[in-house]
Amino acid sequence: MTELITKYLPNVANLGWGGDSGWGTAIWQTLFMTFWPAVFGGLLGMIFGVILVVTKPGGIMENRFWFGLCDKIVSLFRAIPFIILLAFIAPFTQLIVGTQIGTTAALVPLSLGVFPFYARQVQVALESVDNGKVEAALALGATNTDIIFDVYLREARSELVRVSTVTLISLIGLTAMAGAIGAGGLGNTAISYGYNRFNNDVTLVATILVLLLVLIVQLVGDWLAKRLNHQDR
Amino acid sequence: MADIISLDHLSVTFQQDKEPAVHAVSDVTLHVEKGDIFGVVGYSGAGKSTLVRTINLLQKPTQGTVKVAGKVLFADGQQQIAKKDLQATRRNIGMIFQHFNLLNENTVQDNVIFALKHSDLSDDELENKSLKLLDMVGLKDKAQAYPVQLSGGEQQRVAIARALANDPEILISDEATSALDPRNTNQILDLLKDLNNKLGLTIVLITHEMDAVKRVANKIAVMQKGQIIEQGNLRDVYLRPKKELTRQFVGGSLAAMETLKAFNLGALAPNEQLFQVVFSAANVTKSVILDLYKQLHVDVSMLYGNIEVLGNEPVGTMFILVKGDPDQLNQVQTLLKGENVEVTKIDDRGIWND
Ligand SMILES: Nc1ncnc2c1ncn2[C@@H]1O[C@H](COP(=O)(O)OP(=O)(O)OP(=O)(O)O)[C@@H](O)[C@H]1O
Ligand SMILES: [Mg+2]
Repeated sequence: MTELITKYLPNVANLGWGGDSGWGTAIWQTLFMTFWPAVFGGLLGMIFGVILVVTKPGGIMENRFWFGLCDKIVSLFRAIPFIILLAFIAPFTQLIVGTQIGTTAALVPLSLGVFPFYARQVQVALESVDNGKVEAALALGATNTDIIFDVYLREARSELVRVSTVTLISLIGLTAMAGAIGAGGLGNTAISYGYNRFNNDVTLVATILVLLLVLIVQLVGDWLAKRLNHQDR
Repeated sequence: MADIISLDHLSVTFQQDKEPAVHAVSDVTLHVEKGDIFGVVGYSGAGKSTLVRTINLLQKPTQGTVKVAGKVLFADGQQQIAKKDLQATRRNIGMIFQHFNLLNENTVQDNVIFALKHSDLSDDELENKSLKLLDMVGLKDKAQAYPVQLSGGEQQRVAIARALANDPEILISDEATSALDPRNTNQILDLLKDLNNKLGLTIVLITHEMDAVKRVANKIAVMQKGQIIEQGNLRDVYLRPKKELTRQFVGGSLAAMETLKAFNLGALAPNEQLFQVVFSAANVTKSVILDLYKQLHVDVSMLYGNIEVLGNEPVGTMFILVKGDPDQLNQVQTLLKGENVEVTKIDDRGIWND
């Protein structure tokens, strides 16, 4: 195996597994930059999505102010291209993680970049829950907390898994761009060691690895979404 | 008996930006006594749902008073009880809907347990009580199924079990049988009637199917354009409807309408007249048609006839076409009224136009 790689993909083999430019490091960095923003951005997006649905006109906790505020924040952040967001929030990143470059520094813009996208997806998923179910729960004397957790989040769970899959995949795409601030990862490998040095074999392998990651996320997501779905559509 | 639900001078107005206000309910007064099965009928958009949704304040009235089980929930333009108390009160008012509104990601049993979330039952008691409720609606063996695996009729039974989980005194049914086939409809209605008998459950039954009301209700209110145009005991309203719309509802069961339409009565001759005749149990054995022929010598043909049970009493409805000179025709109504029969003259369009 190692011989084959050395023979046909010499530049790939040259990068090695460990070390700053190694494949193992790049894979690890990509996973790292996907996981934590998925947690932070996901949580933030989930909270915004829920607030948008419950405070909307006619919602269970209708509130013009909070709805308007959250709606505007989400729209604003969605409007900023990610590559500009990276630069734009650099001072803020410095404040939080103490550095503006590197893999850890990328976590902040990645989280902020993915949250508005996810918030809208969550909003749409929760709005797919029939209002009649909310009404029936209210008629049973359910509290707002009951309705958020037992009706909205529970009824939309399959849809939430689906939109989370979509979000996770687009997040993997964003990690590649984070290479621009020296964040490493497979995207960086493809550009810095592949494209910039005319090592097409490196670019090819990096691409295949990213595709593989996306495929795994998609398959697991689809399987879970299907398993959790008992709606009659 | 004391009123368990009192709605007094209730109005609900929907005001949307720029659009003219919709007066969905205007100055309605409705009193439901404990143990009633109160039917509310009316065409789509009459305001039935809006009206009953004020009972548990799913809909806040614009004006008027809502009183349930001795507690004033709404008066003077304001909710009169704290949010927590309202939630507790709502558990005393079960509600079922046209589209069942079950939680699809919970099993049948968990749907019932969801309703009991704020009771202080232990896990064992929750298990037992939910199974008992499912047993009551005949679905104990489907406890672990998901709603999507059940038929519409079965889903509505689960909804009933769920609505009754907190042992409410009142059940509101908003078109609960409208999405079901006739057999399931009757099964659900009979189940409601049974619960009314056994548990003394007070039921408010909203429907546009008069047949449902006839089958189970003891009282009826007819709604049109946000107002109750007629209400009272089912028998009284059925036998002596005062308003045109009520007549359409009580006399105009779908079968009768279809039959009459088929006769193409736009072509009534000048010496012909169509009558709707409603008579109660005592007269069922009497031959109305024969009497007319014997006494007035008019030619009578029956276009539609039907006998149904109202509550527990048979009541007959006929549509008869009488042929004779104007003098004779004028006497038809007088004669039949003497026999304690309810007669309505139907003009050429009258009954089948909405
Ligand atoms: N939330 C709302 N906002 C604005 N208008 C409403 C709202 N809810 C109901 N209406 C209007 O109020 C009127 C009465 O509606 P309602 O749903 O009470 O009628 P209904 O008798 O229950 O009809 P159906 O038999 O079709 O269920 C309708 O004109 C409807 O459009
Ligand atoms: Mg309705």
